[in-house]
Amino acid sequence: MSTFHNPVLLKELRSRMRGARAFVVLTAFLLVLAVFTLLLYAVARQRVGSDPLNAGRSIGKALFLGVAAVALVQVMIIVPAQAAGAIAGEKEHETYDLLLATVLPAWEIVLGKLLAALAYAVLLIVAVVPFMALAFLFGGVTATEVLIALLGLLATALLYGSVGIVWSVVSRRTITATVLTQATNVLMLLGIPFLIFPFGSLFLFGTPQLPTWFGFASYPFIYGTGWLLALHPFIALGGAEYVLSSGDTRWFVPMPGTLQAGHQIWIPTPWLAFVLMAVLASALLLTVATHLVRPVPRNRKLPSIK
Amino acid sequence: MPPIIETRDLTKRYGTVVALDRLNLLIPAGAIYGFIGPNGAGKTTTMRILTGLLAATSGQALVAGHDVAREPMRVRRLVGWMPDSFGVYDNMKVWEYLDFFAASMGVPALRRKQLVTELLDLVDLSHKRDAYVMELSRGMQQRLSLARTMAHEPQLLILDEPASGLDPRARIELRELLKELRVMGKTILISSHILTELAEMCTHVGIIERGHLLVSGEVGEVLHALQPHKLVEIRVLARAEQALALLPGLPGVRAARRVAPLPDPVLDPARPADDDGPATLNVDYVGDGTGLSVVFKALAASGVPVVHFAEQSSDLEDMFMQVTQGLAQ
Repeated sequence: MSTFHNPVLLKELRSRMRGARAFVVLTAFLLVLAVFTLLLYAVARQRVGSDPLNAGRSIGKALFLGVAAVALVQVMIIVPAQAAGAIAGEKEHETYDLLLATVLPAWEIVLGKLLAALAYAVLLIVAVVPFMALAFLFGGVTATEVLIALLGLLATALLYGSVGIVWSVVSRRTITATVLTQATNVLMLLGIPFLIFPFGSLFLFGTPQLPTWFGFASYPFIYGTGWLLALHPFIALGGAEYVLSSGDTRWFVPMPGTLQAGHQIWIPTPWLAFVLMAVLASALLLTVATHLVRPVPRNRKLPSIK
Repeated sequence: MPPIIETRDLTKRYGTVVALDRLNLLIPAGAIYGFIGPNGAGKTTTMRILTGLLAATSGQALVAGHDVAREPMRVRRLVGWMPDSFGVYDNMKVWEYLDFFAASMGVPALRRKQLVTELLDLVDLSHKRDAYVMELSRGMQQRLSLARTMAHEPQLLILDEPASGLDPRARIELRELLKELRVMGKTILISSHILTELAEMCTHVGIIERGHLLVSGEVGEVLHALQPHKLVEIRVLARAEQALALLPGLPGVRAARRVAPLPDPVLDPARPADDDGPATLNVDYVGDGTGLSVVFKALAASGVPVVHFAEQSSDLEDMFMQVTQGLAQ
């Protein structure tokens, strides 16, 4: 059965776009974005008043960054919320067992649910494009930057949606799944900088007296912290923008190796690392979710989150 | 022909609680098998094992010869399952509901369109094709649910308490529908804790309590096996006293008594209390039909004007009470 004939996906798309909810969410999403864009424009215009030469570029850049950041935050809230209800909702409606009694394999159920949540995310992201395109009127932003920002939004939707799916599979109620999903996402957003900071400072301000194991561990250390950082949409996509703004459009960039003078390590550019990590982490999360798909125990005290 | 359902020492434990204890069930193809038992007896557990949703602790469950644990997908294609709850989706139309489940059972798109029409016709919901599932009445939802179980044209229907919560009219409609399905050659396993629901429609019956199958077989056989005592109702136009004197001496008759009240001498002083008019008698009888005909002949030969002589049919409720006696909590 091909993805486009996935009954779960078709059902979800059909009923999700019906009724007021999808329309209201999309409208609210665009309203927030519009209000923010206007405010940003007003602020940016005032700030660049003294520098008319670069005014357009500065306003364009500010609008692009602002719209991208607000869209990112909204995608990070809306997509996991949709995904969290995907399977827990079936349990609440008492349709989950019916679904499991069909010949659909677990992976097809999980994939159908994820793709439906992502389809909605794509709708949101497409709706962002005109706002980002405003930046082109002022200049200061390249098409590459916009495309990478959109790709970053899509990767964020995939990663956060997959987190939502996992919690949705293990929870019995949508509200539990939603709380756990958002908690996980907040934990990732705050936890990653918290973990990286002490190591990062050690790395940056370290002295030559560092123990030798630290030097030996430099490759895993750099890649380890790098991959971890790449799971953080703001750090990774912010870093990507920083690199791209400097005109560096390479896919792999050199980084000085620790403790060994003149030694360089090649690492993927931040946006590439982020997309790779999002795809890998999602694949892992979805595999876990597929293995956890099983009928709801009835009236028994079995391990399952209520 | 192999039985469509066969369980061999099927056991299910939840921790220390034994939900099913070495259940040996045998259901022939084409039967309407009434699975009767109080709440918590193990009916739903058995049904969920048979649909592959629950793993047995030990023992084996076979559907049309296929092991449920080893060939779950094959078994799912053979079984249509209706749980005791009706799953509803928001924002879903009646035809979409059937189309979705048919697609999930692997029915090709080309066949589905016609299938949905046929199923809606069968359960008499064609006029609700474009209505939202949530807006249907309980009885209609139940019929739609039944149509869903047949979306992949299974041989066996497993229906868990399908009549619970239905009003009398919906219940009758459901019963008619089940009879129609039987004519179509489906085997139906239907559970209930309300005995009268099943009394009229089942060909076979099994009574389960606390995970034990107490009795199982054809309704007539089970009734016969459980009821050596038959109650025979006799109406006579006159000579009731003569009949009452004669009956205890006949083979197989354990007791005979007059049922219809005697005329009240106060209210109806014109007729004496021992008036030899029409009367109804109840006879406790042990034996078969031949013996019963001997009783009838003896009464007729002695000149008692018998106008009605009939064995009272006892229902599943009596049977259930008799079987579960002493086991009920």
